Amino acid sequence: MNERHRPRPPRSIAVVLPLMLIALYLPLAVMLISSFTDIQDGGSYFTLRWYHEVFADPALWEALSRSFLVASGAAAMSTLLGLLGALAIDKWSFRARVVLRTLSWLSLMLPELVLALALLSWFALFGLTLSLWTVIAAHITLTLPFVILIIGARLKGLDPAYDDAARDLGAREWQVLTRVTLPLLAPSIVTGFLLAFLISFDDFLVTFYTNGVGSDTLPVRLYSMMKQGMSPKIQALSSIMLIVSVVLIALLARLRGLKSLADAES
Amino acid sequence: MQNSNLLNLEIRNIHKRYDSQTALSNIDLVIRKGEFFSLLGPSGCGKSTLLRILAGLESADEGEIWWNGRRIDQLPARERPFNMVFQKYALFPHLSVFENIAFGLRLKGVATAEIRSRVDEVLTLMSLAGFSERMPETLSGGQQQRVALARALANRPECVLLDEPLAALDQKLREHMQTELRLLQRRLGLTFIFVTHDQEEAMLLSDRIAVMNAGRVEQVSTPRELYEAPQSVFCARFVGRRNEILGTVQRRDAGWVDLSFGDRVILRGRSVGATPGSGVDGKTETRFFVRPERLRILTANANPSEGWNTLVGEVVQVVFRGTYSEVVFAVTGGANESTLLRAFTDEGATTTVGDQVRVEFSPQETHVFSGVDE
Amino acid sequence: MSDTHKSRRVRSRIGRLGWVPIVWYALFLLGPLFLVFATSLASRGIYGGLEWNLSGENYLRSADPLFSLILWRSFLLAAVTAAFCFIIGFPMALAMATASATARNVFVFALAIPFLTNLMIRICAVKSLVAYEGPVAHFLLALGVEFDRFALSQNLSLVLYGMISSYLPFMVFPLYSALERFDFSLVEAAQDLGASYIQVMNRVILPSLRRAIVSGVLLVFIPAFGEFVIPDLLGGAKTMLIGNLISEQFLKARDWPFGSALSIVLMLILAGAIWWIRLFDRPMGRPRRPA
Repeated sequence: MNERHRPRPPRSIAVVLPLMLIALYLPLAVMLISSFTDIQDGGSYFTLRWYHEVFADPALWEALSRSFLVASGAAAMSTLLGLLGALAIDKWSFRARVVLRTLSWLSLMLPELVLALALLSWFALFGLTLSLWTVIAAHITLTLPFVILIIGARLKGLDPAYDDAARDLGAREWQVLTRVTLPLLAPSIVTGFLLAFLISFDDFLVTFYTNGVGSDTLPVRLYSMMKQGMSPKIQALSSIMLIVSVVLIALLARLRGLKSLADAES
Repeated sequence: MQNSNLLNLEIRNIHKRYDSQTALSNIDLVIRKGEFFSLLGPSGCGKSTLLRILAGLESADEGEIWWNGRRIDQLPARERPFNMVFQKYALFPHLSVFENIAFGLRLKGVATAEIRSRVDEVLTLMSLAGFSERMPETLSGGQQQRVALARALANRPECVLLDEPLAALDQKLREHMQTELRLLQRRLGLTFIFVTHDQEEAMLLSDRIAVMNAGRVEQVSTPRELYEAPQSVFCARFVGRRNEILGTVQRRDAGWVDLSFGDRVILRGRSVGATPGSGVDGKTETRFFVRPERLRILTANANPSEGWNTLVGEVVQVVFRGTYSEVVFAVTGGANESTLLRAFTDEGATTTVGDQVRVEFSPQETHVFSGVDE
Repeated sequence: MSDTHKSRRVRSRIGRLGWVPIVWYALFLLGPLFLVFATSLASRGIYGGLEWNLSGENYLRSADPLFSLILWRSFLLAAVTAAFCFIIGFPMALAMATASATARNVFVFALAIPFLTNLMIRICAVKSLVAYEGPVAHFLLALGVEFDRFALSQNLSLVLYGMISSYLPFMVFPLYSALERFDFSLVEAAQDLGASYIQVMNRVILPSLRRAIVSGVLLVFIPAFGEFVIPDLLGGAKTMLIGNLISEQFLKARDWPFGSALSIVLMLILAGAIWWIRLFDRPMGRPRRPA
């Protein structure tokens, strides 16, 4: 807003920022370093051994592919539903608009644990065996409000004159949607998808309760590994996931998703 | 309604309400083919609403719209032979200039070759040849405006609706575009319905103007008629600059009204378009309107012309406006403590702040408008 | 065909598509939640199944002081986390918002990374720090300080650290977002009138951030209340929190009705907390205590 110099807080206050950033990053750095370190004979030296172990572990690859599968499927469906939801709330004259908005808000405010257990009961009621499908369904429910939020935020900022112009020039309602609204929403749709993907990929809690035996996703696998104690192999795995996350976040940032995320939070 | 010339736009008894607010009431207009017709009024008067109703982007609660003898108010926007130029242009940001202009044509299924030729034709018309691959955000305001116009024209509408299209442009550019617009309209022979709040703009461009206020049409006439013979106080105030003198009615007869102003001064003015009003002589207040250029400044001790109105006052401000000067002076008396009047003069240089001046003005040029007895 | 009152919203049949997400929510949110409620009224059968004898006994059980203690502990953890997140997060957001434009982007990015990375990764990172063979251990050894390795790797401060670092971005982002839009010329004006920066903060900046603070507190408190993974992994699974308790009912004790009742209680408490926190959202509501 105002690009001119803004009065800075005094050092004693502003110093919290770098201190906390260090506090946040220090463990990550240590983890990264440890993953490359092997301690033998009282000394420590650089090694790629742990990474080899990670890459050679078939269970981990399976977990990774499952995570990827689930995240793709859940994100895709969630984006589609979220698009419809955002359009229904902010654009269309939809009678159950308030209902949808409340539901979206509700699912946001709900503790993830309660959602997980509720779904668990639900699936049990219908006699559904827990599998990746149940996980996908759970993830969709989890990520849907975020997509609605992101696309909805962009939608609110769109000038209604575009639609008017399209109608004036001869477009039917569905054509207005496909030729004007959707192209203008495209960046936010992608952002929504990426965010949903990220949330799904990283999710632990809901996945833990709704997945079947032996079909762990990566975070769940990591959890079980950590329960048994820390090892450099775990650190290597975590480091890999960290790098991937960073890349994805950089992608998000390029699409300016971060700003809308920060705004959407409020 | 004339049936001899069916090629026109008839707006009959349009009403529009938003919740409990009345946006438009009793709108009756006839707009002739090939006319440059303006809807003039302050913000909120309903002019844009009316335009949108014509375009089909909103519907009226009551009333009908007829075009060429065909009733069109039930038709959706896309089926009406009108196209609109929007205030902020509304150029699709994700499409190039070419695609923006071709938008309507593509929807109609026009063949690619013909799309190409029509777009080029209209680009040339708007002096935008070579701009087809540009994106809207890279264009200047004036260029965007022309693209918006081109986009509307490419569809060969029978009538073009313009919603304050020049409002966002700066002064010089606006004046340039005004001329271009007028020439274009003449050349193409299309009907233009133009919405603006700028009365100078409306006067400059239009064949006829409809002055609107609070959802009603106050007057429809040519610019000249509007300027010289406004039919209501609102029009008198809105179009052109006028001095207002509030005084008490002393006498009315045969189209003339005598007003007392201050202790002794009697002014005479002409009743315009009104039946001699009711109201008690000696008690009712009313306003006289005089245009600034009709006030002649005399030196304080000169004798006024025979039969002319005259007032004395003190100069409070002299504004140099290039080709003329504006002298603002205060007269005491009348209902207000002091009334500020303006006169235009070439001899501004000789008048300075603090001078006592006498002005005179002809009763012929002093007007009282109907519906004024406030 | 002709609509009489065409408002700004698009009135076309296409709006019916809005039912699709609602159907989804009905199937995968409302249905399950209702089931939880229904289950909470049942009781555990002899063989671990469900007996539908609609009673409120599970709710009565949850009123047991033992569980109240657990609830209280969870509440405390969440509240402390939220408080710390604010105390740390506000200066951070302020420093970020007053930095140069490029620095700001860097900071947002820097904060986004821990925010968007997997919880497991972050926990792993923390554990790496305090592992038996970790740097902290080595450091303390080198200093000759005596300590218990086990206690180092699993304790309350770690839990707190884990909670705060997990939830901090949820507080910082809304605050930062609001501060970005804040008109800092007000600060300059106040300073011009002689206020110290602390006074400016309290009287000028903070009041205008009321909405954002409420958002931030909600975004931290709500999930933190049910959090148990972080305490589980970093705190050694000794302390029982409401999250562990509920989870245990479902997985170990197989007492789904009781677990459901606890979940409902949790949700009610949270709803109450949300309502209370939201009271602070009124623009000119409550009289402020003199700062």
